[in-house]
Amino acid sequence: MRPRTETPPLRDADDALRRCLDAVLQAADAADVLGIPTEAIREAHADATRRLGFPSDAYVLALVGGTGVGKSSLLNALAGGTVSPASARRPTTSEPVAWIPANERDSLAPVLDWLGVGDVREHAANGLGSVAIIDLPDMDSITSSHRERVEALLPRVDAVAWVTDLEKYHDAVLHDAFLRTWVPRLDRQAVIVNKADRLAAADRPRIRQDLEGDLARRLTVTDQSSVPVLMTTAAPEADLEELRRWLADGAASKAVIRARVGATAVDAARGLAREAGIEPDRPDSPFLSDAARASAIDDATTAVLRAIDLPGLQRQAVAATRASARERGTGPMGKLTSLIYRASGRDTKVADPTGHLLRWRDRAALGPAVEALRNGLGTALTDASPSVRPAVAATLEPAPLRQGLERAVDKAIAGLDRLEAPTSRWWTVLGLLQTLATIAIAVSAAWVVVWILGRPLVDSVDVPVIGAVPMPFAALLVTVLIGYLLARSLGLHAGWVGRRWAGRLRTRVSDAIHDEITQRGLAPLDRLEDARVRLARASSAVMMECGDS
Amino acid sequence: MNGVAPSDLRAIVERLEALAERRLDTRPRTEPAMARATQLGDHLAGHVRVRAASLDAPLLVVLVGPTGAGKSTVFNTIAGRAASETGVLRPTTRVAVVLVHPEDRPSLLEGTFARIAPSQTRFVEDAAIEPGLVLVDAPDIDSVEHANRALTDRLVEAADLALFVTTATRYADRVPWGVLDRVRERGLPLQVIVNRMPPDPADQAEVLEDVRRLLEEAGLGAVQATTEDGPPRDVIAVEEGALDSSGDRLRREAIGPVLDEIARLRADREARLDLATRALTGSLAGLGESIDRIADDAEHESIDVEALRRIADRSYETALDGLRHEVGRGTFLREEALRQWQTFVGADQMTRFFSQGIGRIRGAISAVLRPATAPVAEVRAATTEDLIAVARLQAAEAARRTATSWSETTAAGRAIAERPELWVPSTDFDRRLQERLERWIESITEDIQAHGRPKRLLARGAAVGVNAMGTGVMLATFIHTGGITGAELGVAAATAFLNQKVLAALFGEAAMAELVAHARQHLDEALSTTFDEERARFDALLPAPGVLSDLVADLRVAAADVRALPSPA
Repeated sequence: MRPRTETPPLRDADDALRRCLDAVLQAADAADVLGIPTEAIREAHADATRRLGFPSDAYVLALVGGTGVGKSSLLNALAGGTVSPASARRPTTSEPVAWIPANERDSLAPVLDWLGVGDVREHAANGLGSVAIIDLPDMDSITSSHRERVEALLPRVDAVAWVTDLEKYHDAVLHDAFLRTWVPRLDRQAVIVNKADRLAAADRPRIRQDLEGDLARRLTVTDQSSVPVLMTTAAPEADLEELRRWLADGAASKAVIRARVGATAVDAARGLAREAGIEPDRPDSPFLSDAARASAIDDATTAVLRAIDLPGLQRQAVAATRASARERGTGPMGKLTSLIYRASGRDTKVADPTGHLLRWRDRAALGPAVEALRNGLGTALTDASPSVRPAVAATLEPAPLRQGLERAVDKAIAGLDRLEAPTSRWWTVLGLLQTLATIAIAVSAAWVVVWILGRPLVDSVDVPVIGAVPMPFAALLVTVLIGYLLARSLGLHAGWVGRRWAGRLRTRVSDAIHDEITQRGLAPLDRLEDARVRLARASSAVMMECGDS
Repeated sequence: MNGVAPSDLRAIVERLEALAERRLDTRPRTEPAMARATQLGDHLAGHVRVRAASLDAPLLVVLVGPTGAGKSTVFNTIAGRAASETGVLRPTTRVAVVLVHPEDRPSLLEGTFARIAPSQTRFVEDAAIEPGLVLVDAPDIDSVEHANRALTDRLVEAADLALFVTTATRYADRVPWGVLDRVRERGLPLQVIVNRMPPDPADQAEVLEDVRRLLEEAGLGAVQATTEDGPPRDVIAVEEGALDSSGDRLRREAIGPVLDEIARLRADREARLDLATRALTGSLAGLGESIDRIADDAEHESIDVEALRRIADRSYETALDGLRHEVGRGTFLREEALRQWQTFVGADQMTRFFSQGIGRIRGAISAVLRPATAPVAEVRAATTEDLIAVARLQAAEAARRTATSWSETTAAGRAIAERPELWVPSTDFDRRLQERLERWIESITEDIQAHGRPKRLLARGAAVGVNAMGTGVMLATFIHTGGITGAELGVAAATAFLNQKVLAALFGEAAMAELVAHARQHLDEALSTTFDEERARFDALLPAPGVLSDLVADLRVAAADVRALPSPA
């Protein structure tokens, strides 16, 4: 056997077929993520790759059928001599026998070796085409090893003649256990009704119609061409006209091999897509609909925000703004207060929105938020196909969902940078005025002291009702009033600025958390959604590349 | 009959039929187990019951075999006319064709055919034959028409004699040997006919020898004896194309021994009684084994079922424990609600209940000047909402874990696949829990009113309001200081501290502890009940606990009793 890489025998077989097989693997990879078993499909892929790698140009046709339907007799009749011994004793054939054109002997040897067929008979080319015909053991007798042998060989042959007879053509074993599974995976195949000589001429079309109708009704999938029904007689008077015609009819062996690989790939891809619940007419519909996704994210965001306590954040923001205003706009006394507050740690407790957010874990009970998210994803679980459901269920595990939410909150908070309380130029102005006012108060107070001690001559202000008030007292009163008014207006302004900022902050935090949850909150499900998309794409690629081969 | 008394037999049939019914009610989980239970029921009703009532009831001879073997041709040959349609299209016969003397028909309908739908039978009455023997052409056992197999299985269970028709092509097919296996187990007298023999005598001999070997290997030698001490019936070979001129019958001599036997049975009541007795004997001998196998099935199933039940129990138990843990620590409560409550219980007006001196006076003043209103509605709504959310999360976890584990088992995998709603909590979970929680809060209020006898409490309670006190007790079930006195451990601890102080001042330490304990217990009941209902959705897929193990015990006793029965002959 020549190494495959050196000269690919089917070198013109095409990029399409290779792309198709690659797509099968991609589909299998995606299916793995979804928890769909793919061993069988990977095996089929390996078989297909192997098959395409063999140098032979002849294709392999297997005779598959129940015991006693005349598979061996049919082959003998075709050969015009004994190839595979036929007998009345059931079951007869226990080892497969290959009947091959002599000139293909060398090229077929590795294929037959791969198939495990040791008993090989050669014949001179006789117009049947480049085909190795294999007589297989039965698949319905009490010798169960025979059926196992057939099932092991079926994935590797290129074409199948399903041989049956007048007694067995409606057997449950044939239809339920073989035709239903294998007809879609094969391209070149026919159902042979042997022993047709036992039929009256008028009954032939009835049987043919009955069987064809049944095949069409039960088995044929969408675009597959119908399976022909051939009537034959192997013995005593051989009548193989229909079989010979079918064998001779347009069977370019390379095309047969490729078509077989293509049919298997299409069936595999279709099977995976079906398991994943991907509907052919709506390949893009996700596990979780967009509307359900949006509402799950909204609900989770609402619950997260509730847990991290936005009203608390607002209060802290306003307090921080006030603290900042106090520092700038309250003159020397205010500065002193600020110093005391900062030293006592009061600022970081009640006036630190950033710290409040960073400490969210101390407060927040994310349980309700995790549940809001999980509940929103519930429809994905109930709508998923049974094969995918365990994988979808695994994405609803609370611990990762909780981690996802925590990360989302952390990321959102980190993205906000340091929350610096706003300032205002007015505060500096007010601070200057307040300093002046403080100085004026001090001066006034000093003046009052001087006046009391020294009684210098001062003017008095004529206040109604009270009468004349000495100027130092009046000055003290007025400056204190001014100081109070300045402090009051600073407080009002800072409160107003602080509330506005807190409002903006609230919106910013909400938006950031919403964004983060959108991006990473559903990460486990998104992995599945991604796999589903890849599977849908790969399987439609398989249909496209292999579909019409 | 000198063996078992008919009344004993009837009693045991009743008992066994009840057992078969019970077994079917447990919905056997595998197809073979289902088939065995159905077989036993069919066999008891169709055969043992009929024979227990009368050995004189019409003898049932059933033609059984694969499709296309020529059962209908043999039937027509025995009937002497084209009573059953023959043809080339497979399967030809889709109903049981019954050749019966008009006299036998009523008893047949009451007995053997009581369980078979009229649409599945076609009666061919023939007044010319002797009454006492009924011949049935059963549909095939191996074609794609699966309903045929079910009907034939039922007929095999009822038969007194099976005429098994196969062909030289078919005789080694696997499916019919499954039916023959049941024939052996049932001890049903059997006659094998191999149709379509090849013309070559050497081939014929080879086939016949092979068939005999297979029968022997399958343990069917003894079953074939004509009488208890008679020689085994030989296999009857019919050559391909041995048809008479009509085309729908064999030449009579081709199945001569069969015709002779039928004729003998028709003519001789004693022979019929003898065969009926033999069939019943075989049947009773086989019952022990059948019942034991059904008991084995049920025993295996009971192991599976208990494993499944344990999975569900454990999942829900774990989930409920998780929920209890969360509820006990109040970690699910949102801080916003707690702070609202803290503001209320921390107000001077409330703290005066446990303060001394100036605080007390300040409280009294502020109660008049700035009365604080308890945020009852807000705190209750927030608490209920969050509690339902965490409860639903745990219920969802339990459902998800149970469904995932069950879906991996063969015993429950399909049931789970068919019921996607089991993977999530039930749709009315919120409603049910909400109602229970409302009821729970009411019960706290009632409890407080029942404890509200001391005067001091009444006076103070009037100032606070029973709803506010109820809310305080409700919160105390979730958050408690557990000995910590410092109020600097965050809102939850601070609230818990103040809340407890106020409650203790209102009710006294002991009464408060009792109120909280009651509330906690009632809440636990509400949660457990709701979780039990959730788990019941899974339990509904299983037989009730003990049902299977009781059934196994009863089946074993019945099997022993059946084995102890004396032979009917």
